[in-house]
Amino acid sequence: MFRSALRLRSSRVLLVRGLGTRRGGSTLDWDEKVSDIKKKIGSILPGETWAPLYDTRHLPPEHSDVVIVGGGVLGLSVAFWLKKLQKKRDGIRVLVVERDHTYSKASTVLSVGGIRQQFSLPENVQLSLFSVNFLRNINEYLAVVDSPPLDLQFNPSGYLLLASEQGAANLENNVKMQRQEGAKVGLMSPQQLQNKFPWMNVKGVALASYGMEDEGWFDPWSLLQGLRRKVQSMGVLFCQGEVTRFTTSSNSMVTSSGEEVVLKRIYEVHVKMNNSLEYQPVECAIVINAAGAWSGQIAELAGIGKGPPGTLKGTKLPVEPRKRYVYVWHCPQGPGLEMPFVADTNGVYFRREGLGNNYLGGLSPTEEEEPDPINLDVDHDFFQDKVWPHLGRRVPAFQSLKVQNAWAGYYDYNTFDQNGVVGPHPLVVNMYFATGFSGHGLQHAPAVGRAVAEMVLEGHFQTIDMSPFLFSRFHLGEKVQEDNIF
Amino acid sequence: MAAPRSFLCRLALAYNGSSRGMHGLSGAVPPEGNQRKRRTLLQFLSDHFYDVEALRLYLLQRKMSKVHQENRSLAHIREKYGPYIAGAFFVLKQGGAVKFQDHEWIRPNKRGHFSGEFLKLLTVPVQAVDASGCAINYDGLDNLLPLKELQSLSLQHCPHVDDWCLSRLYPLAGSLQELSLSGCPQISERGLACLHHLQNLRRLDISNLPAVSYPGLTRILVEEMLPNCEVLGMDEAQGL
Repeated sequence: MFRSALRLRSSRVLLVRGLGTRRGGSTLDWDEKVSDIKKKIGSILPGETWAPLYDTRHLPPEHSDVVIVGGGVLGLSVAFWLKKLQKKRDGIRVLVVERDHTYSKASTVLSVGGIRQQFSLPENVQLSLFSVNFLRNINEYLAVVDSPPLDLQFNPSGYLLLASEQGAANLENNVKMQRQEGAKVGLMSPQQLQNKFPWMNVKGVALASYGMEDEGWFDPWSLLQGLRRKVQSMGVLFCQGEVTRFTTSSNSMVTSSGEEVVLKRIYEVHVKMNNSLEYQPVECAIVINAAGAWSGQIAELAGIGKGPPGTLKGTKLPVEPRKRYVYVWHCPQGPGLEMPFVADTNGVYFRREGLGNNYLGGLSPTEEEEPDPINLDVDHDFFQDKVWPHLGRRVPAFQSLKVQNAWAGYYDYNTFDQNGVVGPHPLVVNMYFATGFSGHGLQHAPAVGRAVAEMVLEGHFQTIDMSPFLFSRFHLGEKVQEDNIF
Repeated sequence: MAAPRSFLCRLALAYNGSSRGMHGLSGAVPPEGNQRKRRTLLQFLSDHFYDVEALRLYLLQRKMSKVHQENRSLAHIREKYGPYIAGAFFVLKQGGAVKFQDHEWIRPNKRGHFSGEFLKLLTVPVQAVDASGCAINYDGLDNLLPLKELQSLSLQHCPHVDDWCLSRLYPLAGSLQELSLSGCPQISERGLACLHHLQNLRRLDISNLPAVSYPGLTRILVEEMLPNCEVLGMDEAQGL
């Protein structure tokens, strides 16, 4: 109807034009104008490519105060504490970007789930003590209205660390330090060990430390789900996508000694949707790198490590994925309910799993034997050659066992000193790290989350002083080595 | 402000009915047919209004803090009168019963009052504690652990005693001979596994523990773990 009216109008106009030209007036060039109008109307009508309103519900929001890269236990812990310690209700907008919502490769859920206070650094002991407190009172911290209480399936069986002649002095010093910090750890002689655990062969053991309380293992998946549920109820937004780009702005400044420093701020995070080229630039104020095994890649995106080696600008984040195997076996004559989480002198660890005489354990390979972290395939020969002989030696009943299951997971391994990186980067001023814990991230997650949240909200660590864990130690070469890593 | 809050509390209880408490069952288990339709008014309001949700969360946390208040550490009493009196006072305040060595059982009466006579027994150790039905939890055990000559401990039907509490009992290993955990809803086989420290235990009552998944098997394993102990409850017939 519209088009016929147009045709009518154009025909009438032609008559007018005819008159106009006779009079000598201006030519209006109606033909071209009409074809323009037709094209425009044609494009508005449905079936055309111009679509000003489309569905963006799957995309993250355009603005967010804090973007947490990585939705594992550390990322969710930081989100929880940010929301808990915020001064005003809904004062801080948090977005958690997680690439894989099935958590198929996440270190959290593939973890053995142990928690202990037997570390060689006082800060690590403090972190564990707070985290165990958090887990004990988890139904107060993570209470959500109308949801059932969380059952972490915690086994308070304790950790038993064995030491040979060489390691005995070190173990004793560590235990003294741990007891000073408040951990309930006791030393045992080989004779006491044999009396208490008759299934063990104590040959080669000079000293052992046994955690009496607050140590054991739990179900990391329940913790993750509990945190997710609570954090969603507190108003944190989740997005399934991958961070592909950081857009930064630079500011050149001069230090007091006259050196020129370029400080960068990330003001935009490009979040790309899975299986698509679509991405959303999220404007943000603070970025938290909790990407676990892939933190190194995220740091590179922000330009950390791009510079001449030896300078602060050229110091990379030394966190890389390392593959670790866990094997589950069945041994009908094996140790009973009293079996703690045993960590042998050479690094082999094993614990009971359930009530049916099933056990699980593994060993961290040496630097030379490190498997390729390209995928999570399990090497069963590793168990045959490297793990089983030690198991059989330490627990004679394990000489006959049957492997039921095995899986592999990543450690976010800090190649510098196997301890976590927490706090802001000195040059990229609004990127905060919460990663690199090399196998003890799960047990420190609640405490580290609180530390990072304090750093973000207050500007300094308030409860536990994590300043030895700042990024600057990589450039200054100050190692905070953690010895008790399995 | 107390009156409207307590009114809402009563309202919540009335609406929630018997099967649901503050910790409803709507989280893990998908509700069947007619239950889905009977989602209570309060849950509907919580889902749609932030202030109702915040209020319910506040009431829930107040309930939890009441338990904490009852289990606060009586350090000042312990310093003044010694560990035995402090432990006895704690148990009596919660509604339990205490037996000093060579004395009779001291129990609070129906109104919760108890005589102050035990305050004279400064150096007499506490021999037996009956904390059945008390709201004792992990922190409250602080007051019981210094009782080094405790021979019998009864934690029957304590709603807040869980696996963490059991892992804390090892300081009593030297003297504890009788332990009763019957009817505690939060104890599972994982907590029972850390009773291996209590080598002097002669009598262990673990009947009626709903959270233990395999009662018969657990009983066998506990008997193997504590060879000198008589284990009661969890008959072989139930779920081997």
